[in-house]
Amino acid sequence: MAAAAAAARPPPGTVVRLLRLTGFPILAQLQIEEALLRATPDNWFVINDGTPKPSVVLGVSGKPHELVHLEAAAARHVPLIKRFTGGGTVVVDGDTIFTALIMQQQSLPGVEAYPRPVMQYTEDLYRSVFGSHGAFWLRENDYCFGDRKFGGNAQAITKDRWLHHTSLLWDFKRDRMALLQQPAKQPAYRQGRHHLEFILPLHEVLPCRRTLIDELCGSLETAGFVVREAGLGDAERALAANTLCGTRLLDMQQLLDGVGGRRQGEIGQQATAAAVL
Amino acid sequence: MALAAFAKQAAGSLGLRCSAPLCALATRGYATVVDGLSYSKEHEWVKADGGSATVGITDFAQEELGDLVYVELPEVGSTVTAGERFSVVESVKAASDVISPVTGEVTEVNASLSDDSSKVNSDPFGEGWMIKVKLADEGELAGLMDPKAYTDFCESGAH
Repeated sequence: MAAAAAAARPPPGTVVRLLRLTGFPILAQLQIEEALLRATPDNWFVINDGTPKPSVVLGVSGKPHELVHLEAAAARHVPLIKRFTGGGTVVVDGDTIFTALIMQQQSLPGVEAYPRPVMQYTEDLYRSVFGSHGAFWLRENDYCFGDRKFGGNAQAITKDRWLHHTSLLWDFKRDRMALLQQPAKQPAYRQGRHHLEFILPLHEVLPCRRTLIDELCGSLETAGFVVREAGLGDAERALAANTLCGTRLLDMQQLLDGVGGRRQGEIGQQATAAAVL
Repeated sequence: MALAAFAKQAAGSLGLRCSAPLCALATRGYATVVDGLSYSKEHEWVKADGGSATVGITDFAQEELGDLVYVELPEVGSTVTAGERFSVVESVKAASDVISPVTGEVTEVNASLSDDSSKVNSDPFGEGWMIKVKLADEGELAGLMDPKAYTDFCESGAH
């Protein structure tokens, strides 16, 4: 089954609509991705070269107070965004390259709309881009060269449609990465390393950012799709038609108030315990 | 042997009698199908009881999804609609929609899943139940599959 997913080819003439963006805000991009998944029947590849405002983006189940140093993020005016896909927490900015592949199951026979077959397929797809630059693989569901992660990924699946998106770190700012707490659940290969030792900026491995973007777009034709350029207007029509939106900007003040409330609760519990003793 | 024992336990917790012959159960290697339930093409099961129904995801679905780390359920009193999302579950970095097989008002949710989503994996037909619904249209049940048809559906690869 794994081999079938990795080697899957679309039927001849299967179209993927390509939406190229540059410096597009990540909140709007995620909302568009969700709309393209839910409100169109088409296959899409969205690529965005950087987002203008540094942001922290959490997965659907992410708990901000456990994953982010909230007070530091607030002090630096870094907004928190909850996205509609699973997966972990990332810090993104102008040096992050985003891709999203949105697919109708019937367009890739052999790739069932479940998490593992989808990732087996995308690993093979992206191998055509990254494979010649190092020991590329999908390791415990992270895109890595060797034991260092260069790209986060996450997915959303609805009926017979799926979306797989990535945030590829061309570069990153160490102080922004430090806004993230060490997550409780970590892949075994991370071996407890701090973010800065675990993450690999792509500029250390790849020669040219523009070439990477072109090759990511080119991977679709290599994979057997017919690629048709699309415009933002097409995406915005989907946005207007979509009724289910799981992506939203989180209220920082509300999050900080929640932290304060938890601390008061802890102080109260400690006082009670002291009184009992 | 283990599959039959699991099926008996699951069926028992639903108040069902599990048919002893293994031909009543799924023949796919790992997926269990329980008698007495109805099944949707999106791999949810329904246990109808008068004008109400209990809904969850099947053993096939939980196996394909992988270990669940998060289950989001609707609020009691809200309306679910057949063919539309009523829940989101997370596994292996994926947020997957769970599609309602019936229409009606949510009367109860399995709140324990917020603390222990693994119940959906370990006991999908029993402690992993997700919602209870007061049915708006019992006729919708006729459009679901019986255990044999669902077994055939899973094995056909048409899913």
